[in-house]
Amino acid sequence: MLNRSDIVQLIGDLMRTELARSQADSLAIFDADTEGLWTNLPTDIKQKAEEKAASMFGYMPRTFSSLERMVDYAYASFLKNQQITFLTSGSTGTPKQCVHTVNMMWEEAHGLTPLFEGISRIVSLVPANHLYGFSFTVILPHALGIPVVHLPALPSQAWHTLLQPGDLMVGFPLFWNYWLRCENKFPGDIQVLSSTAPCKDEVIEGILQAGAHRFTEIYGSSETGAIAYRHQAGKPFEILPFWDISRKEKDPLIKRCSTTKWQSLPDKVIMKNERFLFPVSRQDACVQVAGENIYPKHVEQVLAQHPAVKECRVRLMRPEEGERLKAFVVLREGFGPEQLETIRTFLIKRLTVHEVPRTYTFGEMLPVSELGKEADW
Amino acid sequence: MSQTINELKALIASGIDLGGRDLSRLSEQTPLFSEAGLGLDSIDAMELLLLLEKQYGIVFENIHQGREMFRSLGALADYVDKHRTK
Repeated sequence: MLNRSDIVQLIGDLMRTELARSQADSLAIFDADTEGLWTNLPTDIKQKAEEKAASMFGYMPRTFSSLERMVDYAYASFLKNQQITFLTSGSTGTPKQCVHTVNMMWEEAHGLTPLFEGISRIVSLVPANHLYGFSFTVILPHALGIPVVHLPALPSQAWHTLLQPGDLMVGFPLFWNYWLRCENKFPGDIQVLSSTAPCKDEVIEGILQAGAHRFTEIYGSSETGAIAYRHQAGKPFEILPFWDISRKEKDPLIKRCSTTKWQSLPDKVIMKNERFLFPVSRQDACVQVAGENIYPKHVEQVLAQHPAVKECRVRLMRPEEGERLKAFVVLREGFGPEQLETIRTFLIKRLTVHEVPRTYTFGEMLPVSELGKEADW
Repeated sequence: MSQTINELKALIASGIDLGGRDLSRLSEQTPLFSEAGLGLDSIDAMELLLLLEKQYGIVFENIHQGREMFRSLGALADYVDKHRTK
């Protein structure tokens, strides 16, 4: 099902992700030449990319003398193992492995194809090394027998020359939010896809008003893949046909029709009937920054290790404040707010780019409500 | 330092949350997307392009120009001078 060029795309996006996450080279998104990217990769990033590729394709980590050899080895491992393992950030900072077999991928792809009839090309704005990108920009094109083009997720582009009728644009909520802020319009017959985080109703409505032929939002997770979909704001998500659902327990359980393993949904949900649901809140304490799963508690634990930090709290900004994490810090005696740069540098060395809080508030004690509960600031 | 660089500094300061970073010390060579420089990330890239479109009428047309355009404050100023429509 996968060919060698898919493996090149996966490894290339893996390298671009590592370069951006570490802030070693965020501009790698503009480098379509994966061979050139490999050649100029800093040693520490190359090592990380090699480790992650080994985890993804299921072989013992090893170094390679060329990209070609790495791709050959990864492809042979995929053909042997018939599975790919995706990593998602775990609540403790240790990545969690999510295994997807070829059978699962095909089952999902064939369950999704009826949603995208009439599509003649996929325009990818997401990396293929995360499950969402892999499912919709690697597997789905194979299932539909259509080509895919990869573009950087920058909303201000010459879309009238880049898009063509029959395109499905694969993006994420923040991108669609910026699409509307740029006042972009869709040329005729363009479909839009969004996932990785909930898309606000006003964004869905705005995208349709901007001329999108159809909007599809996918609900799912790295552990499960796609679970449900909807086309309209305010409507519940319909569970995809390859999932069984059980409501015998307090919270609903799901399983792939082809398996016997029941599992929890990634979110607390409100069921509207047997196969329709509204996600309410995450089961874990995960938040999304730029489509990436982030655990504020893990960031707090790392921040608390700084010698100047006595106590701290980290949370997602309110919508009017921005799209990132913010931190409240109580400093130890003898330290002042001039510690900001050392704290930021400390975190940059230990966290990924979107885990590092953008703003810091210093105070003498953590903010609490009148009732003594933790409060926002 | 060129007029455009000063304009860009003001634009970035007003439109992008830099978390308290001081823009006054930035030079033409300051990298935009690296911790050695301004430390902008992918969200900032979207915001910056939005600001450039609103302020200068610039629409990003060629992926191959992206790396050079965003390399530094000076490179971005050059790009703006060559491609601005307002």
